[in-house]
Amino acid sequence: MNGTERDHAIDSLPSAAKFAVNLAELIAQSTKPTAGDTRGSAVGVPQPGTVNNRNKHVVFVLNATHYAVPLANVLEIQRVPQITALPHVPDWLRGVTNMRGDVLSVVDLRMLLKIELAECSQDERMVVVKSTKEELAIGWIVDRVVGIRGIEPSELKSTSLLPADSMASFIAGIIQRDDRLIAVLDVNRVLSSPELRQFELAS
Amino acid sequence: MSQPSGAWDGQDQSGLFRNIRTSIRRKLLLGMLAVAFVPMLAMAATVYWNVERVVFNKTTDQLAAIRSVKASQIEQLFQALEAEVASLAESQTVVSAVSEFQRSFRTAIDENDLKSQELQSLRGELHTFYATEFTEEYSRINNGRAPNVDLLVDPLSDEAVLMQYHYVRNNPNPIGKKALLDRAADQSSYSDQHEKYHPLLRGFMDRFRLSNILLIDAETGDVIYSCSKELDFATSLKNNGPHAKSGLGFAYKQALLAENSDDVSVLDFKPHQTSYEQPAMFLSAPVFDTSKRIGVIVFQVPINQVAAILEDRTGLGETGETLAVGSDHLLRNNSRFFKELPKSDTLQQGSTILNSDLRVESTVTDSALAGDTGINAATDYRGTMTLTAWQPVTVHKSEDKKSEITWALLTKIDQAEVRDPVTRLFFAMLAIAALATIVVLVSSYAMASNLTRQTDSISGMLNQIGMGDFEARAEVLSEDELGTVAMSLNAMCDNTLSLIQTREERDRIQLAVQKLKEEVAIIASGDLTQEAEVTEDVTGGIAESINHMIFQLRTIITNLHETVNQVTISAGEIQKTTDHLSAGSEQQSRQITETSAAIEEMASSIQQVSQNTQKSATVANKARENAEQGTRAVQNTMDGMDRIRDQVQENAKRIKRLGESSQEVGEIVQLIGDIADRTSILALNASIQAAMAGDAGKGFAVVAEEVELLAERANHATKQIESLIKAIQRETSEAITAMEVCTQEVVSGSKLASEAGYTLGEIDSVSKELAELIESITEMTRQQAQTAEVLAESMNEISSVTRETALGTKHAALSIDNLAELSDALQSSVAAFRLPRSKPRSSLVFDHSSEHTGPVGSLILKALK
Repeated sequence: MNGTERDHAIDSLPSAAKFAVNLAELIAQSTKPTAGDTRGSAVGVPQPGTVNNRNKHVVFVLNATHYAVPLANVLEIQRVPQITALPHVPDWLRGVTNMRGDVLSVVDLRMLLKIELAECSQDERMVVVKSTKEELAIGWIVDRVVGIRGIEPSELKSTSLLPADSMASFIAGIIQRDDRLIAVLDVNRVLSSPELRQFELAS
Repeated sequence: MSQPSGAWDGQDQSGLFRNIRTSIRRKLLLGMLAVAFVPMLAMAATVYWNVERVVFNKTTDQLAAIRSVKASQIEQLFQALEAEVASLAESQTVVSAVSEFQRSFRTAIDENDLKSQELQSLRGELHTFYATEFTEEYSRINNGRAPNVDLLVDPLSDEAVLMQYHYVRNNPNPIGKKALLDRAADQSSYSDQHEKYHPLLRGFMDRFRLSNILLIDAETGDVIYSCSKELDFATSLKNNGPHAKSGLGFAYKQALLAENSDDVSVLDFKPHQTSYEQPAMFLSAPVFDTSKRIGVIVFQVPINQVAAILEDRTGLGETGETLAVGSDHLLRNNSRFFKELPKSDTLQQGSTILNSDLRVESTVTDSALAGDTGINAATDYRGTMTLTAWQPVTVHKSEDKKSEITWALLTKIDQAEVRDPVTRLFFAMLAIAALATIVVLVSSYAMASNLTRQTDSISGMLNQIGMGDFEARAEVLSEDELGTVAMSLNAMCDNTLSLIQTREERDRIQLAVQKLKEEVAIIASGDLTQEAEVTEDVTGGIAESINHMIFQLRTIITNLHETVNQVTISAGEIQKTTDHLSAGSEQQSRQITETSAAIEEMASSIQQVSQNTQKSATVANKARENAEQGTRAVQNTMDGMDRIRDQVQENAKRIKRLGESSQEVGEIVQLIGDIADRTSILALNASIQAAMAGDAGKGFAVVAEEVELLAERANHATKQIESLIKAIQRETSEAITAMEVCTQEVVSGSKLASEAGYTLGEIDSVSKELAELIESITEMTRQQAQTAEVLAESMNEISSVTRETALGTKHAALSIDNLAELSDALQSSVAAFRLPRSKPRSSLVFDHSSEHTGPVGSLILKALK
């Protein structure tokens, strides 16, 4: 079926059907590999070994700034569940939630890191992280999860440019990717921060 | 003949006879008037005086009779009443009634078993009755005046309260009819007694037309019985009673002084309070049981009994009335002139009875009250002159002069009414006298004229004869003795005239005739210069006549000459005139021809106009057709507009449906987006799980990565679709707005089109009217063209008539030529007569003839012209 015949066939369809055809095309186009796709991967064709598991990071956004955490520290990613608020706790501790039978503390990372809240996002997610040693799991609320990206340790740059405040102590380094800076968070430092630890001891 | 009518006019020649005649007529007139009037006046005067006297006497007698009758009626009435009171006072019924009532009156309170509190409440209710029903009735009758109720109720004793409560207040009958109750609803023995005696006494009261009968306890002064149950019932007439000072109280006290039942006291009419201030007279007598004075019986007499007697005015005409005046100078009955009297506030209920505003104080009243009787002319209370008869009436006789009652009775009638027949008689006689005068004047004038006409005729004839006219005769106008005289005079005149002529003169006459004959022969030969000799004898007159004839003949011939000359001159003038006339008529004929040419031109112009108007009509019709086509086109446009509007609305609906469909698609896309989102999360978690699996999960990690990539793309695609759908929805809503605007445009377009259609309709009707107008103009111009043609024909006719006139004028000129010739011939024939050189002896005659010639000549000229 060449293009002209197809166009004729589409013209003869009712308007709702035409719309459906257009929609299908639109989806097909967006899934096609484009010339500018740097990864060059095709659908359904796994290419193992390209990225080391150790170097994989989950990238997310807090008020337009990209952050990354190592995949090893991430247990799972969920939509924001129903949270039970607790009394006499700081603002950044949103409360606790039921995670498949386990009680999980939920922390608003934006508040904890004293980042201004962005406009209410539809794509808000909860990232469940754990420290490497202590097996402590906590849910972080983030604005948006970008995806899993591989980060080579050589890409990491020093954070000496950043001010040496509390925020700086949580950051392992900064990488540049696609004209964008991504701050790589050290989960262990965050979880062992005085705020969280104080809270943990108290609880 | 003589002229009798001329003599009537009284010319100076008949002066002698006129005096005689005038005096005859005047004497006749005066005599007849005297004969007619003297006895008539005498009779009229006698009748007038007699009638006046008779009428006056008759009225006087009538008044006296009526007055006496009324007086005796009133006296009888009161005598009868007094006798009835006395006999009732002595009757056993009344005696026992008084003693029974006396006894039961005192025990009534105990029998009813009443305590002082109950009595107090009865008193209260009685007070209410006084203040409402009694006061209302009292005010109604007395122009709103009200009694002082407290003064009436407070002095009542307990017995009085009880009695009035049961017999007056609780009496079911209305005010004025309280007498109808025979027994009150209580337990007292008084009521038993009342039931026994009341019907008897009430029957008595009704029979004598009294207003009340009362029984009074002589000892206590209590009114133990009152037939009418007015508010004086049960009260005490002693010093502290509310009615002790009334007429009733006075009557009771009088009766206490009386020695026996025959000694009746009478109290003159006075207003009585419990009878609502209506006048009442009281007659009282004591009641004795054996020799003990146990009570008093009182009759209350209403004044209408007296008024009924006096107000019967039979025999008193229009203004007569009888009045009773008491010693207080107040009237005891109603005046018949009440309505004419000046009104004042105290005039009660339209009554003059006992009215203090109307005091009758005159010498007549005083005289009657002093006991005198008389009849005379007098001024009454209205200020009118009346004939009044007066006398006193004794209502009650008594040894004691003080309690005696005397009224003055006045019967009167207006003087005007008495004199009315006399006045009418006077006017009737005046009318008869005037009529008689006219009849006498007319008849005597006719008689005198009849007599003097005959004497006038005779005197006229004698007058004529006296002047030498023996032919005069008198006209016989009547068949009486004067007519005979006229006939005899006529016969005498006839006989005398025939004897005047003689035979001696005959020869003289014959000679004179011979001579005259010769002279006439000369004249007959045509010589008009000769004249006949005028002599003294018989022929002298004839000769004079002949001379006269010759003179006339001369005049005629001379006139003839002059006339012929005038005719010749006139004919010449006429010739000139006719020439002028014929020239004039030719010119006229030319002008007429020109005029008719102009008219024909005008006719053709009108025809042109007519053609033009027909063209206009065609154009107008065309305009109309065009307008109709326009209307149809507009109608089509409007239909089209309607279709467009429907289509646009249909389209708008479809687009709306499309918008709704895209909304549904958007929802589906949202669902897809959600699925993509969840897929993305799943992929992430898969990656995490794969990482946790270590090397074994490497392949799965790649798959998870790809799945995540796909989910991301699907998400991206759904977002694009969402924005596309939003664009579609925005555009559909814009399209709908545009459609609505379009619909409005279409609506206003069809409105404009319908206006255009209306305008075209108007154009259609206007051009229709225009076509009709043009049609009528065409018709009118056609008629004008016809008229112009008719006019042209008329002008042609006039032209031919003018030509004929010119011909006629020419003929007339020829005729006048002939006339000139004829006059020449006439002149030559007249020349045979010889005429004297000098004018005849009388210049006067000649002037006369010349005067004749002028007018005749001018007449002939006029005729020719």
